[in-house]
Amino acid sequence: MKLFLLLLATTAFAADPVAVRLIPSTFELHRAGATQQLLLIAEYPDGSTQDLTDSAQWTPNAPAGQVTAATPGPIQVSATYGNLNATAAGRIETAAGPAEFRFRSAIGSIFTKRGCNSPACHGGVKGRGGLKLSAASLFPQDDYEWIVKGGEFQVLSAESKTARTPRINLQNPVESLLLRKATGATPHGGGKRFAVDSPEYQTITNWIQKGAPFGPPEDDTSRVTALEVYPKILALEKDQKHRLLVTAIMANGRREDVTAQALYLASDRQIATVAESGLVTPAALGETSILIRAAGQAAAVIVGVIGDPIANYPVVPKNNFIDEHISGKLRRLRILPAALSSDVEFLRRVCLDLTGTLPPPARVTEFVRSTDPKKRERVIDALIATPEFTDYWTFRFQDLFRVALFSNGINAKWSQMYGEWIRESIAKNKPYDRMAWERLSAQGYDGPTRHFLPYDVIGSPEETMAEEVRVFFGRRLECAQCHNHPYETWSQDQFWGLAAFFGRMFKMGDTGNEYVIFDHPLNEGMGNSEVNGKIQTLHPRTKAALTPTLLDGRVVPPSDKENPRKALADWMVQHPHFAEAAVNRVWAEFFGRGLVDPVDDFRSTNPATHPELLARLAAEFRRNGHDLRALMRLIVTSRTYQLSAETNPTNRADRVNYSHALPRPLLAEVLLDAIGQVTGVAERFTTTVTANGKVTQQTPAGTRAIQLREPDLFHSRFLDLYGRPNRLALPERSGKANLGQALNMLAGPIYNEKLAASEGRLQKLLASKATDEAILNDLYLTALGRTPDAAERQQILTALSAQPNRNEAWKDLFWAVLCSREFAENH
Amino acid sequence: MSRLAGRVAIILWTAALATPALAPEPNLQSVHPLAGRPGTTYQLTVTGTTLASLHSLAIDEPGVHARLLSATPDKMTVEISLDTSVTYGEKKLRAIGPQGITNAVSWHVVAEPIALEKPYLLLKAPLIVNGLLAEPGEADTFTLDAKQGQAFTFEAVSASPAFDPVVTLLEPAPESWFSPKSWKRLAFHDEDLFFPGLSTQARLTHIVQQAGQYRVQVTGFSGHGGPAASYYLRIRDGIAPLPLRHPVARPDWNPRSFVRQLGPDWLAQLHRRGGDEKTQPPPPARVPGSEDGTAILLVPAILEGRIAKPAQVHKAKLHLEQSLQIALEIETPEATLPEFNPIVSVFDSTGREVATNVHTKRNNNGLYMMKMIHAKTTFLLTPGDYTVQVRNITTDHGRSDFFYRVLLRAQVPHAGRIDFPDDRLNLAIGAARVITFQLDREEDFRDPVVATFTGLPPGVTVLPGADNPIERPPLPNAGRIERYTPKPQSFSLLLHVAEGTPLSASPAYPKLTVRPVRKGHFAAPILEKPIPLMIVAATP
Repeated sequence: MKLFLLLLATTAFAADPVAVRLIPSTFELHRAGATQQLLLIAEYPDGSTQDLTDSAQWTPNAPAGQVTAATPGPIQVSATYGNLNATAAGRIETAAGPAEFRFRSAIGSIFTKRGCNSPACHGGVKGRGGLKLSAASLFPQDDYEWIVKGGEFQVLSAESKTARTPRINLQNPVESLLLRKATGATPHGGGKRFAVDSPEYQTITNWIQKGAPFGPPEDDTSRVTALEVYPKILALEKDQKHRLLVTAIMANGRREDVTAQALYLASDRQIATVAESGLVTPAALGETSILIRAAGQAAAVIVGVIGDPIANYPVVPKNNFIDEHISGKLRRLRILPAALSSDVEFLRRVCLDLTGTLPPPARVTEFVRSTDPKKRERVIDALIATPEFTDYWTFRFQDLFRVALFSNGINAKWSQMYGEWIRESIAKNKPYDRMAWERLSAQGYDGPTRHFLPYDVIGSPEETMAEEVRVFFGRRLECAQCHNHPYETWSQDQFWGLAAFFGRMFKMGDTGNEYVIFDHPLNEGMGNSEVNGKIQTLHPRTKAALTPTLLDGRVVPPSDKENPRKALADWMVQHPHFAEAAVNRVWAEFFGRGLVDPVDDFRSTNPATHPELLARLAAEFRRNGHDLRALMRLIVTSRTYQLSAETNPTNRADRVNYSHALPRPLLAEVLLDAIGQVTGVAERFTTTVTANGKVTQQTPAGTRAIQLREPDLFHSRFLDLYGRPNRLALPERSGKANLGQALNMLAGPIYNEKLAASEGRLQKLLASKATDEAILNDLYLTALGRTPDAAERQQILTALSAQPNRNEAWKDLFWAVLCSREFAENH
Repeated sequence: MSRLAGRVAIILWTAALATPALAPEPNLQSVHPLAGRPGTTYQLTVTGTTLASLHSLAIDEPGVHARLLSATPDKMTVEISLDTSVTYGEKKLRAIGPQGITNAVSWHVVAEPIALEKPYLLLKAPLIVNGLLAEPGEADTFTLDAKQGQAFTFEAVSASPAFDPVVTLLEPAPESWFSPKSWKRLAFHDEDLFFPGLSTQARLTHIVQQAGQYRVQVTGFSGHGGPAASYYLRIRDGIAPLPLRHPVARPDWNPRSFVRQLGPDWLAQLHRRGGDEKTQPPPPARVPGSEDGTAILLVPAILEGRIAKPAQVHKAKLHLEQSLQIALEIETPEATLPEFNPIVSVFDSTGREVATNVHTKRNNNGLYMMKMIHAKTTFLLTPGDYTVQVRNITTDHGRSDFFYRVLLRAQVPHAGRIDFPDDRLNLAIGAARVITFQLDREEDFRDPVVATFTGLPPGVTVLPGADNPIERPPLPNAGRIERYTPKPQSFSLLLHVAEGTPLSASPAYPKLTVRPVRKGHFAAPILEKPIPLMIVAATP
């Protein structure tokens, strides 16, 4: 199959488009002078597309596809390329006259387009040179005041640092500091942003001459809620160019073309560049993204600069919709997927991913011999039903939910309570939204309440909220704690509004053994007056008392009779972010990276590699009642998951498109368990060691590393070396090799003592007088889930026969296998 | 300095010199096997420290005969014979040696057949299995044949508070793709609820869904094990009633516990502990709490009700004609902390909180508030109308057994809890020993309190003394701590053994008696406690 696919990869061939279409096919222009960018997209026989906007003949005349509102009424726009033609139906309504002046759209958009409000300039955390502008003009009222009233921005106060001096001059507009700086007439750290004769200069001058109005406040007709970009994923050949089409979605649902007002930034200009107009030009093979900012919003486009066409691109079998999305993009990017994994490759991978356990040799043999066409699905179902599945996913969620001694009140009983709640949830396949809801709203003394006791205290509202958002929404709001997020649309007010849901959390108790978690009533003192205490969360900048407010602006009125976090939990688990963050996190467990990666860093500047797949997975997850097992089954039954790790020339460099399996280092706990499995010597973990070295607490024999609850209670140098997190913060395992690991392999007790142990597998095999070939087979099947191939067998047996000491030779070979990447990685 | 004070000072000085002369006392830790059956004779091993020279036992349990067979520094072997008439339940055992008498350890007489642990022992209810997790990480595993629908109760009881057992029920895992002969966890129990005052014994109930062979496993919490990790496992048919998640009220006086009973004679008890035996106040009126808050309380009164639903708030009106030092006491007769955490607040007619059972303070660096819930608070109320409010601390929890009883009464000065830490006294010849008590003075109780021993052996004298006081700096940011704590007072007695006093062959049981003195008269004792005492040789 692999060879067959490779044969299909040929060099570029010329072809004519088979169809053309206009994007958008319908449009509306609501004011005189409004414009609409149209793109003429050609489709080719191999399914690829190309932007022909600049090569088409437009009727009526629309230079570079841009239509300008003039005469009211319907309009038909036609574009012709060769003998192909496409039309778009438009409607122009100019009864309202020219667009009503609004500061954001008229002036703020200039700041955006010219990069003035970018994070590197005045849109940064503290602004620049005393002037603070909101990112992409997200907060136009603030921007207006800093310009018209003047003043110097302060992070921790709403007051100006200096006396306010306007940055505009109403008497003599051209002498306005705003214009002089932007044109370079006055020294400006950001350099010249536009010329004196530019339209931007004229627009700002006119605005000042008219008294520098703000215009009517933002309403549903003007407030932009999202940006939509066409295309979301762009595959470009080396000699092609493609325009981007950016549409603002207003609060009232109306769509408005903002292609001309948007700011475009290419992440990697060595791969592709983008012009002010949104025209993308490829530079070199590879994949990058383009960030687009306009009207306070941001969006991104994935750009793949692709190689030569592949003739007769094969029809790749699809097991489910995951494969449709993955294959579709691979085809567009002209990448051939790897072949389907072999049975042994698949079995080892799926066992480790679903259960953290190596397949037993007998099962490997049985699976390989089976001719059942459904054997992969059957083994997946069998694995999901195993106790090992429960153990492994309890471990994974205990990592994520931070079960640890110091994270859960510094009381081992509490970390056990919390861990048991997770275990029961996994064992009973509790819907994930329910798990999240229970934790978010936990009150009283049950398992999930112990999450809120890091270091024996109630965590601060801002830290607690940021963690919940990161875990359940996959987003990092922390930046907005001190200032409006410089890259995203999160404001400091939003951050603190959300933090206020956790602002009344209290623990009742004093001794460290009896904390009951509750939400303090607002209107009852409960002794507060006796220490001059108030129950309120204050905005750090404005010092205003905060009311719990959801990210969508909905205020949840505080009540003494309601747990405020219930409303938050209700909202969070139903929010689209929740399901997409959950599926992305689970996806990453099986592929080593998320569709958005890192998994808890969803942002407009870090787009998903497969946004439509992510959306579909999230929808499916919701439809299945947030069933984690069903989600995992869906993923591992996909052909994408089951692709081989062996690459072909087209996909060798691919790390993000799932064209082949990526080897992933085993998690520290899984690796240690696997070593125990292969050597036949299980690890014993200790907790308390007295001063005289006497062990007083030890896990029962057979306890696996993945079954340990508290990483900060059970000592293991090996686990620490291989990246076991202490769970005092959200775990981030790097999986990177280090010198300590290398030394541990050479001289550490885990490898060497287990191999020498008389009760171990090797010594038993040697004592049983098994032949070298039998021992070799057993070692390979146990450790690698396969038998050695003929060359390996011959080389190893020859080498063994040359060794004077059979025992030592076998120990060396076992050691070599355990230290090999093939063993220490899932592939 | 008076002559008496001078003598006390001299004795304290000599006591200070003599104290090191007392050799380390023998201490018992745990017993294995932990349970015995009437009509049997068996050997048990008792672990502890400084046991080597023990020579006899002190056991005062009818129908129990015990003989010390051997002793080593950390272990002694005892033969126990139980008459058929012996009563079931917890028994105590002490041992005696030249260094004195030991503390008491508990063991049990049970009705069920008894087996000693062995791997995969077949359990047939009713049965008691005596077990020992001798090594850290050890797990004792037993076998259980069960029919479909059969119900079981398993209880693991430990011999020592330091050992916390865990019970796990395992079932075959034929579906385990990895190891079809393996066993998987079916049910698990550590303790019903981990909370101070509640038992840490494990209790697991299960109704078997499928006939077959199961396994029952006993382990120590977090892999605990060692020579003192002795336990018994009780297997019963059927689902035994769930024990209340309710701590047992201490037998001694503890007026600041949610589980003491505010019974009809409570006020009389308070007066008695204040030295006033004549006052027999009538029981306070009982007033039902309700959400409408129409009930009227006239002090003294008990407001009682059930917070049956989440966020339910009960209220009542309180009218006072004259200023009154109030004591507010709360009892939770059914569910209690941490499930039911009653918050009681008193609001004046403007809605201002004037009292609550929540003590709020700031932490030591003053950065954040800390809150503690109390079963009693005292405060002054001026004449007027008030609202008394009762609710659970969380808004998410309410249940029919969230039953509260709130007593509002005038303060009654009285002697509160008396802490006396020693459960035995080993005194060295020629040496003295200071025994320090702590007395809680409740509700501005100011009368004298006397404590003395009666029945001391010849040669032992008791004198008033003064121990080195523990100096605690005043707590900053402590809030109105005086409303939530009594005034503690320490006082000491000094026991001195004269030179030439004969060594004890067996313990004496002098009685410690504490009583208030009211208007120059001794009132009835508020504490009477016999304490085993032995006179031992001083260590050179």
